[in-house]
Amino acid sequence: MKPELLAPAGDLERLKIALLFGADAVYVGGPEYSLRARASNFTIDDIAEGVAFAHRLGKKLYATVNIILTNDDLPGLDGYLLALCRAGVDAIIASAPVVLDRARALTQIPVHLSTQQSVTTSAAAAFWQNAGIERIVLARELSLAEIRSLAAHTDVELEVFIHGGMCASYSGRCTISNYLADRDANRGGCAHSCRWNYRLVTKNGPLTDEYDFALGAKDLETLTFIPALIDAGITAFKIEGRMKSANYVAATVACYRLLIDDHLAGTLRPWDVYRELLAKAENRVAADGFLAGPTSARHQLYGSGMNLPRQDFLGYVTAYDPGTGQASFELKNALIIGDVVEASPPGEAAFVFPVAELFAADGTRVDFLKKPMENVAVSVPRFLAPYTMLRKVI
Amino acid sequence: MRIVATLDRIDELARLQTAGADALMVSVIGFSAAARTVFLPAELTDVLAAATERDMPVYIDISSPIHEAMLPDLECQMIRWANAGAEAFVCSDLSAVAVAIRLGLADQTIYQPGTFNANLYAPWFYKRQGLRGITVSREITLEDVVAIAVNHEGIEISFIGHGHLPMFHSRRRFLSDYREYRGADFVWPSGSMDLFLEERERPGRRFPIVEDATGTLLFRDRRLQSFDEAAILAPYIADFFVSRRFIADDEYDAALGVYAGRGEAKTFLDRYGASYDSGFHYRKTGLSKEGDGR
Repeated sequence: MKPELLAPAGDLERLKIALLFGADAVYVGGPEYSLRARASNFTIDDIAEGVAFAHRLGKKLYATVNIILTNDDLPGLDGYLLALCRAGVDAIIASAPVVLDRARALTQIPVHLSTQQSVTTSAAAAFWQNAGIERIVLARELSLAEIRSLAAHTDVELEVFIHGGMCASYSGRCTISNYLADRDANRGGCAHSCRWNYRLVTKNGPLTDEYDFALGAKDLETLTFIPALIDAGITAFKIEGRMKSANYVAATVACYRLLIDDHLAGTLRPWDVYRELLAKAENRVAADGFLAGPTSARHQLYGSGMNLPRQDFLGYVTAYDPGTGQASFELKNALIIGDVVEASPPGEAAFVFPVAELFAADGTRVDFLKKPMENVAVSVPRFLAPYTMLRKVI
Repeated sequence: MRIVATLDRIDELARLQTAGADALMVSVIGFSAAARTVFLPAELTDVLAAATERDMPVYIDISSPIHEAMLPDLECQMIRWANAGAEAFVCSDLSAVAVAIRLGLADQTIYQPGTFNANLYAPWFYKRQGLRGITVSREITLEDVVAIAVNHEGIEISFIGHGHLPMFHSRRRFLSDYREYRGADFVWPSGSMDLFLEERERPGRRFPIVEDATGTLLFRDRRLQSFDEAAILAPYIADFFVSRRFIADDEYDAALGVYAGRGEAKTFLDRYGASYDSGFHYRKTGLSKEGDGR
């Protein structure tokens, strides 16, 4: 069975990028009831546009309605679910029973259970399946062996996180942010207090001068586990990161798309090929989470948490003029004549070219570009499709 | 409203009852998280017999996250506990609730996830599953707790109103990991119950941290007290849990006494009040905090 590759989308541009670079479905947060309050969440009209775009490609869009609702959140829920229904979403990702029941009462939209419920066993899976859940996003605390065992004891669809941020706590159970920052982690306000700086103390005083005790975990990266997860019959593979950049979405989706397709075709490449693809994104330091079994110090974020990408992301192509041979894009990083650029078109192999001509926002020819967010252009020797990623080869 | 106290030793059963406890929560080996003491199966049989003599119901603390390999043993133990006379199973993980339902023990099961049960709908949903009760979330306001407790029917509502409450539960072994990270030369203190975390921007505030077989739990720095609030909730809730972690016996007994109407809140707070707060009773958390620059 070919698993679904499910990607995050923080806005319509990233939604299109995710789907064009190989995601089978995207998940988005709406204006309400979604756990990433600081993401540039979609309006209902945006969601409808995203659905139309996804469906034109034969793909799907899921809407997250995965906060833990308090009493104040209940009025308006029905109207919101009906609006999602009218927008045509393919599933709702819920964690609260009230969302499940109201979605089933008011609509025929399938409901997926969010990882916020931290399902770790086939017993819990059966409970939720009986309650009407059609797919369960498993807890991120499971080993491959546990996932296999659970999958063997249930026939509900299972979804597994394969890449991105990890919570320090079992998801949905954490109230550090509530307690220390008055921000409700389970209603979209997580302050990421687990990534703050702590030190270990006893009643007699601190054990260290440094605040180097890590609650925060390295991000998840599961390349070498993908074949086994496919063979375990997992329905969908989820990439985390609705707050992440277009470059991250494109690079991560493209990598896992290739890997899944290669495995199913029996043409797996050396692991370094996939690692090189992932390295094009601004990934934090990553590890394999719980998949190999209990975690250890190597899974924790002691010290710096960011890997630097090998190539500077320049932007993505917004238009290509065949007459002038110029590709337009919004500049993210400096570029000068003579630099070498990698162009990575959606669904095609990347290629590199030397920069021969650059054009500033007013169309004048320049020797370098350095002002971020300006709409600039570069001469490219062949056609580039919209959303082609441009990265400087360092 | 039953006052549910944690039992650490069988010989203190009478003392807890005298202090004000109506029911007992007991931790069990393999299925209770961050417990001060756990009872072996044979010991639990003795506890159940002794509690029955005193007409004190015994609740089994199933606060461990449940993983697939634990299911067969959990099933066996739940049958054993039920047959031995346990009054209720207090389950943090829905897996345990699901096992109880499968075993026909739903009417003895209280779902106490810590979070999740945060709105008026939760009781209706779990009533439909046949559960005995649910414990409301620990991070919602008193106003919300009251609204949930008042507007339910056919399912018991309970509340954790006192004690040193956890802020999170991780499967990771943070203390072991840190020890590994620091290396062999790092001087490690003895006594795992005496460790705390201190955050750089909050000097002096100490958050207890405990690692056990279930992972790591991090606790609030202040203990919750609900002396005034318990009186408001009493007509509507079935069980009022008084958590015991990190609390000395005399302080614990005094707290039970206040909730049972046998002691004065002022006397208690004059003596112990510096380490207590009112939790989220009057703190409504939101999506952002003015001035929080993180």
